[in-house]
Amino acid sequence: MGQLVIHPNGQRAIRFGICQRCLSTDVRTFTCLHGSCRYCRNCLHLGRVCRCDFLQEIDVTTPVEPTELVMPFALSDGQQHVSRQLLKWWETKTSGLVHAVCGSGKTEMVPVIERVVNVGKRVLIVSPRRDVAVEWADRLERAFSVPITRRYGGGEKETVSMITVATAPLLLNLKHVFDYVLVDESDAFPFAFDMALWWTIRRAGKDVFLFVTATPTVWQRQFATVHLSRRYHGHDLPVPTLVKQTDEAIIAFCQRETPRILFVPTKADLVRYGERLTDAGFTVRTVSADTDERMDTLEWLAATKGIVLATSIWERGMTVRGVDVAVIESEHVLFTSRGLIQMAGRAGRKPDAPTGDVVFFYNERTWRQDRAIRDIEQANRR
Amino acid sequence: MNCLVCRKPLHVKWTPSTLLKRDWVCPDCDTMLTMLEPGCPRCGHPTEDGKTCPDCIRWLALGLDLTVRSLYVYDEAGANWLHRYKFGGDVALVEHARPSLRACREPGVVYVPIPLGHERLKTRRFNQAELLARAIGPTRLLLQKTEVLSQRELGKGERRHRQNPFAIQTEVRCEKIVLVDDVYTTGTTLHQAALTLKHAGYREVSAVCLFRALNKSKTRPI
Repeated sequence: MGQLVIHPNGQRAIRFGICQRCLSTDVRTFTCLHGSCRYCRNCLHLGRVCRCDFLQEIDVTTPVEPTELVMPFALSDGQQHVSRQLLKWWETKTSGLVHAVCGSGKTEMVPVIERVVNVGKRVLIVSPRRDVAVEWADRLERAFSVPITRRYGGGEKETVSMITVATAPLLLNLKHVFDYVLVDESDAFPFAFDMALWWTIRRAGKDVFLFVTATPTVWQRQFATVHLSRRYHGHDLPVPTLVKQTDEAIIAFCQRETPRILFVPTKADLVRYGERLTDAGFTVRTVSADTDERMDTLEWLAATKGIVLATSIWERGMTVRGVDVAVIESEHVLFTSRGLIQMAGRAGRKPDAPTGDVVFFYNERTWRQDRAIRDIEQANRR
Repeated sequence: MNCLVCRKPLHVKWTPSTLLKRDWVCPDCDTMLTMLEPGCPRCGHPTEDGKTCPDCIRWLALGLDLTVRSLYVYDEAGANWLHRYKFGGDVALVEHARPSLRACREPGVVYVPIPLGHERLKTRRFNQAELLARAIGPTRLLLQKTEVLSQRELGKGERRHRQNPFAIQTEVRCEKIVLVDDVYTTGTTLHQAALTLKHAGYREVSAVCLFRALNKSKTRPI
C-alpha cells in the first residue's frame, strides 16, 4: 500500500519480462555491469529500472491534515443537487459518473473533496492533459488551505499530499494510495484508447472512482449516474444547425464579427482550408497537436476576434468569450458524436456571453451528427 | 509496431523481410538528427570551404595530430537524444544510430571506447561509448580512467587544462586504433586518450564521435 521505490530489500523490478512498476512488457535486453540484464522502456520517465534493481513498496508518510474550504462562489441549484449526490456516494463508497454538460463548471466537486480530506483520506484528481491539470491545481489552491501536489510533467514526481493533481503516466509507481479518485474528462484521448493507463489509475486508487465527463462512453454508463444538464449561468446549450457545405456558406460564416473557431478533421485539411480562406482575404491561424504556441493563439483569438482553424486537439478544455463554432466536413469519421458535442460545447461558456452559434457544415448527413444534436437537445430539456 | 524513438504506433508494410528487423523508426524521428556536413578535415566542424578550424590549429601547434570523424550535429534534438540515451539510460536508442555508426567500420581496426570512471560506471550501469563502439565493430577496452568531476558545468578554458586521466589497462597487437566517444566538444578527452595510446606505442590512432558540438559563433551553443 504505497509507493514503489528502488531499494535493495524488495522484489526484482523485472520478473518474467514484465516490469513490476508499470506492468508493461516493453522490456529490452542490454549489457549491465554484471552482464546481461533487462530494462523497462515504458517507465523511463520515472527513472530507469533494470532487472538488477529491486522495488520495495513503502508507505506514504506525508502527514494527514485537515483542510479549510473557501468556496470560490456559491453553487447553483443543479450543482447543489450533484454535490449532495456525490456526498451520498462517498458515504456508501460507490463509484459514480457525473454527466455534466460542457461548461457547467467543476465547482460542485469541491464539497466532496473537502469531506474526504477531513476524514483523513487522500484525494487524487487525474486529467488527460497537462494544461487541464494546471487549471485544476490553480483552482483548488484557491479553494483549499492544504498544499496541493502537482504531479504532472514539470511538477514534482516524488511526493503525495492530501490532494494530488496528476496526469496518468506519473502515477505508475503508486499502489493503492488514494481513497477517492476523480477522473476528469474521462472519455478523452488517453483513457479511451489506452487500457494500460486505466489500469494504472485503477491501481493507484482504492476502488472508489468518480468519472466526470460531458460525453460518457458506453463503458462509463455502467456506473451510477447523476446528470447536470444546465450550465452554471442557467442558459441552454447552443444547439448546432446543419448547413450544406459550400464555399459561400463557409465564407459567410467567416464574415461574422465574433471570434470564430473552425474545426477540421485532419492536419492536411488544416492546410487546405487555411489556403482557401487566405485566398478569400481572411487572416487565419491554425492549431494542431504540433503547434507549440497554443496558449498564444488562444489569447490572440480572444483579443483580435480572429479566425482559428483547429483540429480536434481543441475540442476540450478551452474557453473563449463569445466564440462561434463551425465544424467543417462534420460527416468525417474522425468526428464522433462525442467529439461533435464537445466542439459544440465550446460556444457560450461565459456568463456574460451565454449564447453562441454552432454550425455543422455537411456534405453528407450521418448518424453521428444527428446523435450529437439529439443529445444536446435532450440535455436542454432535462 | 511502435517507433523506437517516439514510441508512437507506426505502420510497416509487411513483407517476409520485415521479420529480419526488430526496431523501426518513423520518418519524423529518422530525420530528427542532422548529419554533419563536411567541414574541417580534422574535426568535422563546419568551416568556410573546408579549411582547418582554429581549434584544430591550436591542437596541431601542440603537436597532437588526431583525425576525428563526427556523424551528427549536437543541436537541440541531438542534445535531447543524447540526454535520453546517456542520463535517461534508454540504451535501445543505439539501434537508431547503428546504421550510420556501422558505415564508419573499416577492416583491421580495433575500436576503443573512452572509459568511464569506476564510480560513474557503477551508478550509470553502462558505458555509453562502449555501446557505440560495439555498434561499429570489434571493441577492446584498452584504457582506464581515474575519476574526474563532470565536465558539463566547466567552461572551455577549464576543460582544456586538465591532467590526463587515462592510463593503459591492457595491451593489444593491432595496426590501427580508433577511439570512440559520444560527443566532441573541445576535444580534450579524445586528444588525451590518443596521447596515452601513442605513448604506449600505438602509432596509428584516429577517432569516431557521434556528435560534434558547434562553437558559439555558429548559432549553436556548446
